[in-house]
Amino acid sequence: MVVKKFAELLGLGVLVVGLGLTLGTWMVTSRMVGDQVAAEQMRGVELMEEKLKLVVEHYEVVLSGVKGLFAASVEVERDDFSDYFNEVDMLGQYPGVYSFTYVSRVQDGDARDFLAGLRQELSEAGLAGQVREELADTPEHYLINYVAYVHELPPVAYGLDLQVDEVRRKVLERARDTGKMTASGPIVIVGPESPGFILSLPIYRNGVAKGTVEERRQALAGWVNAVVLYKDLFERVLAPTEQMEVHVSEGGQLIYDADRDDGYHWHRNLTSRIITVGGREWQLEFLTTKKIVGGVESGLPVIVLLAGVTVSSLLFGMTYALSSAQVRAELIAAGMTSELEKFKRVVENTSEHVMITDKEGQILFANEAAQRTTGYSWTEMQGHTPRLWGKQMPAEFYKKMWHQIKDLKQTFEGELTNKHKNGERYPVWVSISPILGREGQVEYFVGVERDLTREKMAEVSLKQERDTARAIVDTMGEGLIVVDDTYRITRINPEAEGLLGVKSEEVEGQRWSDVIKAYEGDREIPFEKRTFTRVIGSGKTMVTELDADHYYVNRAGRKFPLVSVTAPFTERGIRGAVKVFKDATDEKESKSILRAQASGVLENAGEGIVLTDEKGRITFVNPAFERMTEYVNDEVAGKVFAESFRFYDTYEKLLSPVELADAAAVTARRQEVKVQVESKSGKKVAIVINAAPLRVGDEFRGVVRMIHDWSEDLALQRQKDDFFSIASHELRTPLAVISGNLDTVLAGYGGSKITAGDRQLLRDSETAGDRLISMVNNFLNVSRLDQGRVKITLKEVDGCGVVGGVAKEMKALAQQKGLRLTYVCKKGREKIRADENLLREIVVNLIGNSIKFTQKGGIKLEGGVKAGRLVVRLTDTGIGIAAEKQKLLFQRWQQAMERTLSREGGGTGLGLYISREFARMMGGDLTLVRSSVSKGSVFELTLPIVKKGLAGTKKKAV
Amino acid sequence: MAKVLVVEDEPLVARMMEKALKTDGLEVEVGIMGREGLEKAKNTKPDLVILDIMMPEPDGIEVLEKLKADLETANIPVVILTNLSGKHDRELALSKGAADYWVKKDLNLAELGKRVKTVLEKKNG
Repeated sequence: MVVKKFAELLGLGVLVVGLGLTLGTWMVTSRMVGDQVAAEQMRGVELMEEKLKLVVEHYEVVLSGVKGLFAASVEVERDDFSDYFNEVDMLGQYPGVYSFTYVSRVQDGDARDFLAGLRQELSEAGLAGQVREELADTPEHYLINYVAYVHELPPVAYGLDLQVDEVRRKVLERARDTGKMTASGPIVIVGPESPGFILSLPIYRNGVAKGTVEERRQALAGWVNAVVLYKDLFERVLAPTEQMEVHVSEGGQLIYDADRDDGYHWHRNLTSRIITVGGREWQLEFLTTKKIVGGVESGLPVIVLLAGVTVSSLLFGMTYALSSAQVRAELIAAGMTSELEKFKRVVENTSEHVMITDKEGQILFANEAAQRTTGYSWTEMQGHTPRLWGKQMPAEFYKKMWHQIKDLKQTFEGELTNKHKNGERYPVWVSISPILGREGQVEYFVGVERDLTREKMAEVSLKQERDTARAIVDTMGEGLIVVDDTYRITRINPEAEGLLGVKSEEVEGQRWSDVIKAYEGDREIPFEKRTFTRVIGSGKTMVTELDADHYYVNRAGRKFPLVSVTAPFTERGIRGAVKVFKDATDEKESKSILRAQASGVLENAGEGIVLTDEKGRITFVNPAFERMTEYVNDEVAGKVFAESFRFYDTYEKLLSPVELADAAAVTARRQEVKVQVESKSGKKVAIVINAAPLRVGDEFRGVVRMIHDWSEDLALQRQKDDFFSIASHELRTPLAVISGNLDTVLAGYGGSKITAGDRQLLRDSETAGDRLISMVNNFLNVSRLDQGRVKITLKEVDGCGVVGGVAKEMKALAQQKGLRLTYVCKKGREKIRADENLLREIVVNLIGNSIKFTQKGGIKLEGGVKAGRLVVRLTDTGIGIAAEKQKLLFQRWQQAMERTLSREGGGTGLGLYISREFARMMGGDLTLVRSSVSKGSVFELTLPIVKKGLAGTKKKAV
Repeated sequence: MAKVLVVEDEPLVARMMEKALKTDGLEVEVGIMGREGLEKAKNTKPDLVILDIMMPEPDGIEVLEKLKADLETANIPVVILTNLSGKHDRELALSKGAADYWVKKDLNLAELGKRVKTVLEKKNG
């Protein structure tokens, strides 16, 4: 019975212990879990708080950046302002932002003008109608001058006077007085008509907030503001999570709650925080959901679930916290870099030297202009301070300067000297401002410098110029006279005194026309027509040239011709004129001598001379030309040259004026052309016209043509031509008869009644005759080549076709001798530039030669295209050419030297020399590729392929 | 046997061609100068005329024109045999009705007969 009770007790005890243990574990666990959850929640709270603070910092940075814009340049363009913001992911970086604005402080008296100016500026962007005009009843106004919008919403704010609204006014004035970024209380944002607030950063005239409030109020120039919407901001930054939600209030007034309607029941206030934003205090209340808390109290099984949840949330929380820290760091870095990048871009383009250093003076940034002015590149500057080019002033100077900047935290402005990298010293005007951090400590320095070298130099050179001008006027070799608008002499230089025979004291103050009389030829020029009168009257400069025939009569009565330039001048409204003149006696003389000489040349020249003006009209023809054409100057003067005569080409074809393009005028180059001109009596005169453009300075003034009578030359030419034709014909004809008849007899004309001996004799005669024919042909061809008589007409020719044609024609000949003749041409549709006749002759010669010197086998012709040329290769299995003979192969007269000649083969006697010359005349070549005795020879003919069509009609330039 | 008329201004050359053609088995008539050539063409009715261009008045082209204008001689094929190797000259002759145009210096006398026979064969069918 005792045992039973003990067991029960034990069981109970175990149960109790068990329960107790379990309870204990449960309590511990629940506390642990609760702690952990709480801890994780706290981390979430901290995170959100940090995030919000960070965003506010961002705003401060971007606003300071804009402030930098206004400090760096005298004039900020509207576009600069928007550009600054355009590049950035506004919504990404600045959650909640609606717009950024710049507000100008404008005195009442200036307000109207300000708004008018604003309207004009905006009218260019089509926004003029948006400018408001609602001025508050105050001595000064705070007018919105620049706006950069985030969204594409209608601009409503330009010209808005922020004095109109209490809250806005307050924030601006507080910012002004404190010198720090200030936040406003809740306001309704105009536009979206949503609640939000303004962050305002004041901008002072000297860049930095001065000492006292009074000083700040004086120095204030304007504000740069960020307009932020509560909802957008908090939804991004304090977004509610599953476990947490934040409510924000200010001064007891709720400005934001998450407003969720998804059935969560908010139970307890986890914690509250207060953060200061721009001088205002916001209360953040972090609330947690009931679910989590309830989970710990109700039921054991939940613990297990919870434990699992907690562990993972812990893990999650940890990673979250870690990553958030990382994200935070990145955000800060990105924020800073992008601000700098923007600042950089805007400032890059200014011509003023802009630089930013850290508080130790280490250069963080230097714009293009700074690098240019100092001579140091950005890479050279890195790691250094501006002392690199400074240190030119006495030590106290720098001490004072830095005291003002660092200690007094004010902008320093003044002149100092720097040293360029190349050692030169140069003057600059500087403005250096400190950039303060949140607690008012110096973080950075920004310096703007302007190179004064040119300004300083300008001062010096101006004085130099004045001195120089005076010296020039006094010593110049021309006379100089200045008169005022009443024609009284105000200045007369020594040379003028001399020329006119007067002294400046005598004539200053007197009327010019009373002092000196002017003549045109023999007639006195009246006052109204005097140059000074006309110049002062019209305000135009006048030049009196030699042919104007003006004369002055000086005091002594001497009359002298003059050339002059008279120009008007205005100086502060007073008008007068200055004349520079000289005694042109010598020039007039030499001009008439020249004229006489020129006349003489023109009159007596044996060549015809024709002058035409810029329109092609004849202005002059000389006696020689008159003789040639039997027309006199007066008959043709004024007519267009190309239309005044009938011109023919060398083939007696009449050329129309259209074909006679005035090439000399158009191409401004010399032209030489041969034509025939029909004289008055109908005679055709062969002439060579050499035309050159006439220029006076850069102006085209016409064409001068030299006409050479070519008739005699032509006649001589024709005689020579005739000789050649006659020689050819007369030499060849009897030779042909000799050769032909011998042939006929040997071929058995009238039966074979000749003995073997006779036959041999006849054969020898035949051979001799062939040689003679060959030599004659060769001789005539070479002579023609020498004299340039080979007429060559280059056209687009189907090279392969021509060669093939010749090959076909000569096939029979080859076959007669039992030789094969093959031809193959591989090409596309390319044409060559060649003279068809000459080409044929070359090919006939080559094939003929091969047939002649080949006893068995055959001749192979291959055509193809290689490197822009048509290449025709001829290979024969002939007797070949010995190595030492190869050198002489293309020499003149070579074929004539040949001992072994057979009857067959058509004796053109052209010779390889001539064939090659023909080939070269067409831009190609003929070469022996290789040859060996009793093996055969390989020749190659190349000719250029036409890239594009040759020019079409040729105009004769006359 | 086919009959060929040779019209030439040089008697030596004419005789040379005459003998050569006769060796090839052709009957040959000769007309020295254009006028005689025209007469002989009308009188002897050859199967082919070999005509030189470079002759004093009337020159070969004129003779060609007259031959083609005259009904009696219009159908006789006329082959130009000349020293002139220009394309213009060739085209001119062909345009005036010449059946062919042979350049003397490209020609072998021995071939002359063969060529003539070829032309005659073509004409006959």
